[in-house]
Amino acid sequence: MSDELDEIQGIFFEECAEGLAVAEQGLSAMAEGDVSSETIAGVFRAVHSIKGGSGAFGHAALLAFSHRFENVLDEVRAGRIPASGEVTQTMLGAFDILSDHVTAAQGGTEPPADAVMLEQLDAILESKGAASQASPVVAAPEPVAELDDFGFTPVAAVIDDFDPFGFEPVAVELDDFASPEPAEPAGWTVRFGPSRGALANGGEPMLVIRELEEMGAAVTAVDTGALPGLRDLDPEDSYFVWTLTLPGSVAEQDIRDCFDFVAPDSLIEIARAAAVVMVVVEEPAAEDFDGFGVFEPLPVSLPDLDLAPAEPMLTLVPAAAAPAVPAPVVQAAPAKAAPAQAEKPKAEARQGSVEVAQSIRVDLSKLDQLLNLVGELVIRGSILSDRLSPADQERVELPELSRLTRQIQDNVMSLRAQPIKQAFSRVPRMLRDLSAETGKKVVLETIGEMTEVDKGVIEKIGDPLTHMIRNAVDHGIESAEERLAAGKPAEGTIHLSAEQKGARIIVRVRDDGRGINRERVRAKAIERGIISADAPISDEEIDGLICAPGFSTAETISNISGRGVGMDVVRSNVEALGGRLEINSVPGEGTTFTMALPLTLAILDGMIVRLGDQRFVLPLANVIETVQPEPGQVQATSPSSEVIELRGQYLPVRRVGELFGMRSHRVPEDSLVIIVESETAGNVGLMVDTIDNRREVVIKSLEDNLHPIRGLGGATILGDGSIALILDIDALVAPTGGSSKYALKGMAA
Amino acid sequence: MSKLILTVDDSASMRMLLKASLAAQGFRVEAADDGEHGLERMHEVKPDLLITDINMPKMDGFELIEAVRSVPEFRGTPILVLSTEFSDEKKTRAREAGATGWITKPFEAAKLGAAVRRVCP
Amino acid sequence: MSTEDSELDERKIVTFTLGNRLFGIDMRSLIEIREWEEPTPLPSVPPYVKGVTNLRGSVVPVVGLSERLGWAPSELHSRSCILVVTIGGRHAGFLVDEVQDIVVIQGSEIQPAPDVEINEQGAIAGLVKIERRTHDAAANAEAMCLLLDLDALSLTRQVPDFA
Repeated sequence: MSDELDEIQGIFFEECAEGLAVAEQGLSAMAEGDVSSETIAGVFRAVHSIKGGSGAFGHAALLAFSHRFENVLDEVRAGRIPASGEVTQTMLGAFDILSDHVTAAQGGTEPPADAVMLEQLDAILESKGAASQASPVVAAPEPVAELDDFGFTPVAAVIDDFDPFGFEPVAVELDDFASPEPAEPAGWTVRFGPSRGALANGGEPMLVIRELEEMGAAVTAVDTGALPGLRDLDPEDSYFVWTLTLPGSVAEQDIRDCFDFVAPDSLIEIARAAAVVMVVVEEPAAEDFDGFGVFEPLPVSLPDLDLAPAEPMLTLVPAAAAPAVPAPVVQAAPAKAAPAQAEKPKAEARQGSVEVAQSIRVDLSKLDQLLNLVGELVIRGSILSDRLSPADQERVELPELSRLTRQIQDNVMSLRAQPIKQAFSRVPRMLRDLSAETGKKVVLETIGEMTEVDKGVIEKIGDPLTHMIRNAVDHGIESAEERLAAGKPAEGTIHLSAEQKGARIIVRVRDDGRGINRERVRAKAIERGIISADAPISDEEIDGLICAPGFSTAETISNISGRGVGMDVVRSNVEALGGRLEINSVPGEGTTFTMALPLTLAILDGMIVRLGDQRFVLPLANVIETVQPEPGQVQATSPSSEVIELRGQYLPVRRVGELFGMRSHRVPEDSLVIIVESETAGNVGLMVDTIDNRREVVIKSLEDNLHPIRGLGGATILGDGSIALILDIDALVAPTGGSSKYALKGMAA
Repeated sequence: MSKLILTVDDSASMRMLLKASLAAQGFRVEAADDGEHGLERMHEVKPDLLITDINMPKMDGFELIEAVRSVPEFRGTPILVLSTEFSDEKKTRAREAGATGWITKPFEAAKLGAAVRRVCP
Repeated sequence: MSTEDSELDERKIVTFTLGNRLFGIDMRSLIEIREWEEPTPLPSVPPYVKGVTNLRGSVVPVVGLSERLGWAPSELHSRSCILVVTIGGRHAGFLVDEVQDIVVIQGSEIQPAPDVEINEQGAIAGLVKIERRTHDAAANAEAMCLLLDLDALSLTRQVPDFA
């Protein structure tokens, strides 16, 4: 069990990390002025979850702090405290302390000093002012480890005034009840008249009586006076009032606990021989409950017992008043409540005397601006270099300048970059869940989780990744029996990898399952009218169909992947990021999903090539070599395809002008062939007119103002101010029949 | 056969903790990670008791309870809310939605067991 | 956003021509007017996207507005120019025949567009009558101006298949 607990605790800390990330993101958005209810609710939920788990795992300091933080968030969420800049700043400070608390809880180290921050949080709560609203805050103390009924804990109090706001009288009578137990524990008398509501909502009053009996109770009387004539009898209503006696040694709380889940409008009286406590909690809002006189707040009458009844006490809590009169206030701090509240408004919101921060928060947009400026600097640098004579280029100042520029750039980039681990970290937990749900055992292998990716990309690949993993477990990995029968290990394996390739981050999800069931996919696509029954279609095209809009085998195959999104949504998400999704499946061996994502804004080592009067940038990472073909070295194998012979090997050759449908482009005699390597088609020759030079370029995304275009990784601005398009080699040379005709939309032109 | 409990909570650690606690006390436990999924699982496993969180993405606990109660088959199924929240407002809402009872997180295994047996002996 | 501020009744519009028609856009959407310069052509885009151009360091698409609205492409001439506008925070350049004027109109003068025969549903936000200045002041005359709803012309919406 303790191993298991450790494991669960480990997951809890993973969740904490996620929750902190969400909270931070939300608070930052709030600081930037996004105070939408979703944003605030997101932060609230994140902190709320941390609190929930921290209690469960006994991290008292974390629990206490997150609880106070949550109180503030709850008020902000409810609009009772405005999400002003000042409040948000304080919450950002509180967030930092919360992070420290999590770290401390995880490492078993000393919790951070949070007293100052707690005071600030309290100041915010108090600044809210209105005494009538302050009570939920005061009520906050300790909900800890307590099973609670529906709140209206049988507190004895006399409220002679039902005005929802007039709850001051509460304190007055409580002293009477503070020590209800006489020195000699007299026997208990309990009267229980379940209301109609006690039978609704899955309640079962008999279980209460049974539980009381287990504690030694005996039913001494059953009042059936309320039973109507048979004709008026409602089988869903309750008409009986039981009277039970219990030994005086039983603790009152244990008796009360039995009524934990009994509808609050039921009659519940618990009395010792010397005193009587009667509680009738009425919910006027629920008219249904008003059916009979029995449950009127009668004065106590215990005809069967000869008692000297103390003053009967009632708590009548109109539903409207319920939020304003939380039981815990009354219970916990009856006499103090009023003075405490009177004092609080005086406490001024403290100046932000936060402890020395180790980090500062910077607006993301400022970082972007900086990055853009540095990008310009790089471009200017290369223009300058171009304009100088070769001898001047060699001067030491210039290389030094470009080295510094590059360093600044790397630094700025790194401010936005974060390890993709963040996106990967939720996978293990998800796999455990999926294993539990499907009964399939899956091992996860992760490679390259320290690969750094732009923050924006990390935020957006979470969902596609989740779905691909679900898909792999659900459709890919077979059951243990099936796997053993196929000669595979019983446990399936999912490889998750990330690497940077040129201007792209390649993220792969590979399973060793059964592969795509092409027969089934094809049949489904025909059934859904996505392809015609006689369409000649390659295996790769069939695989691509699972990403076709309107195609989803998910809902029919299982409820796991079928929840919400289909692979078409995954594909469009990836494409919306300027990325590309590819699928490779080998029957019996498994399926690989490959996401090729852009590094948003980055520097690319590129080769500037020319076609007609247009220039393109070829990522140097793809380039293997450049060939000046001899006559006859490039030959046509069909009217629309060519190969180049290179050291005895034939490689396909593509004309970039044709791939882009450049109408007027005339291929010069002395064209060059650049051999590039691609993920999608292996090594391919690209035919271009000439090569200008090699240089670093700043990638400008097309989707900032347009939309992603397949085959292009973006654009860049050259030294003369003109624009060169950056080729996305993998997408460009992908075989036409390749990943799917959907993925290739637009490129056939 | 021991009683079957469906737990719905968006936190995996909470689900596992619930499962561990309840399984140790002789209950069978199924789990779901949000309200929507919880409703699906209700129909699939038809538990003797539903324990649900309130604050969840997609369908929250209140909505789940309402949806469950609207199915005639589940009208009498006890539903316990397990939440860190404890305001009367929330409890009233849960009650109105059709919850049987409320347990405040964090819970102690023994008390959780007692509470569960109180509605699902 | 640009044409529905009912409490701000007075608004400035920039008028321009496409062929013999007069159009207007809300002044607040205009970033700059620049001379026509051949943009860098893009593959796989609809014909009305003429390409991209460099606007102070960012890559901005240039759209043949006339084609975008379903008419014949504008012919380039010396007064052809590009209106650089912002649409929901993104930038685009529109090729127009000639920029005319900046006029002030009253929101109440705008009439809803009847079924204008235009490819793009809803690209015309309304019609308004304005005084059209000509080179000969005496010949000034009233003319109908079609107010464009730029949001409807957004380019970032994923375009349908052009394969």
